[in-house]
Amino acid sequence: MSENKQELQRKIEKMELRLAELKTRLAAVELAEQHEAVDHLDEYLQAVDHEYDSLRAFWPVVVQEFRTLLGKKP
Amino acid sequence: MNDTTANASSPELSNSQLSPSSHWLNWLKIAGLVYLLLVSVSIIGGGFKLAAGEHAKELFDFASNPLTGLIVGTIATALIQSSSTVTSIIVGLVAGGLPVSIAIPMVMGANIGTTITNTIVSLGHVRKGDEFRRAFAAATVHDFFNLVSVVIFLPLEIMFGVLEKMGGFLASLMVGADSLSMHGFNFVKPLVKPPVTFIQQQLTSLAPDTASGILMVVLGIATIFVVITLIGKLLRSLLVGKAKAILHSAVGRGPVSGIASGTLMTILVQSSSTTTSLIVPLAGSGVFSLRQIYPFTLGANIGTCITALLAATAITGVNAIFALQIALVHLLYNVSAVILIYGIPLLRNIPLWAAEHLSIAASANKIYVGVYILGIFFVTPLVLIGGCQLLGI
Repeated sequence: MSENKQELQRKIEKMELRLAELKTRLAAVELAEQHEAVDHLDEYLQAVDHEYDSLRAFWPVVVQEFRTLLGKKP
Repeated sequence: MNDTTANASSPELSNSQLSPSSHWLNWLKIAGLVYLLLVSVSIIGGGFKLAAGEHAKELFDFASNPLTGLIVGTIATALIQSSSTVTSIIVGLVAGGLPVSIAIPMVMGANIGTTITNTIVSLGHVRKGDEFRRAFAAATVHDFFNLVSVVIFLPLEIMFGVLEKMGGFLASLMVGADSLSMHGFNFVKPLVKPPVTFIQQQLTSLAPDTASGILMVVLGIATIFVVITLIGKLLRSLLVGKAKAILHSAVGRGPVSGIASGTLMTILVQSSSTTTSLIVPLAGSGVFSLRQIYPFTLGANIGTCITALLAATAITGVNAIFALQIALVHLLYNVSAVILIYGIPLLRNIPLWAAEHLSIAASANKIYVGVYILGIFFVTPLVLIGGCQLLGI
């Protein structure tokens, strides 16, 4: 029984080590993704200069949802 | 990526593509525009003084109710979409005699109004399900933070006038309370005064004082609007590389680094709307979490204060100290709000919770988005103003 307990503890420790290693690898992947996204910052600047394009994209969607709400055909 | 950004590798934005001579030409343009900004603020101050004379306070009696001042600041900024423009105009009006106590709620309102830009930018993701939810949450967390700030600080200001006193104290330290002359900023005065005097002389020779004053205020406001828009565009094109470097250095670090990088980036691009709008697609893509971008948006609130401080350096005369005071109040308000709200976990989580829940609702039904934008920025403020007027408050 006690041998079984020790084995379980060993397994848990091993899994915890593995989990910590995976977490570190995930954090590294996330960091790399974030740096890559920051590299595209100049592309996002366009959205700031053309925010009304966002409104234009939004308008038909909200109109369609209104029509649905009022029971009219889109 | 956002629909609006997908086809967006415009050559005008790439600083590396500029020749050295164009690069320097752009910096010269910025220097000229900053000079124009200082002149414009001074023109507003001079014009307001000329038009209102000793009656500046009475002219703004309608905004003596702090709630009305807050709403005026909110709607004006939401319409202009630039808190820097509105706070610079407020600095000019204070220089012309607008009482600081009336200007403080207006500055708080400018903080709320400016958040409409990144909310609009987030709408570009509307057809992309989860991406829209994340982008909208990233945009509205800034709104909710600024609303919580006002809920905490406006009543405190009405009851105790803490910010006004602190701003006044700091301004007197910097300016010198005895002489009321801008000891620390005197180099600006000889540069700014001649064109302002020239414009005033030309206008007063053509029209009565009141009409000339009004014309000067309108001219100053129009110029500030154009100048800040142009400065923002030029700085964005020149400093996109620096902005990237700042963001790279903040990635993977803690919230203090996020706040600092948001502040720095906003100082560089002279626009909190630009900073907060840039992080919307970053959050929308899911690469950055809401909690990660939250401190960055708070830094934008602090960085944007630099424009009003710069504007205050243009003011001369007896009201110079008050112009500096309102600019410092803006800074103190934003720094205090970040320290208090972000510093206390319970308060820190309110904007996050509200933004997450609103974005889930908005993602399910886009009508909530329209109701939210119109409600927060236009309908509620107008209803409150109407209510105050009806009740005679």
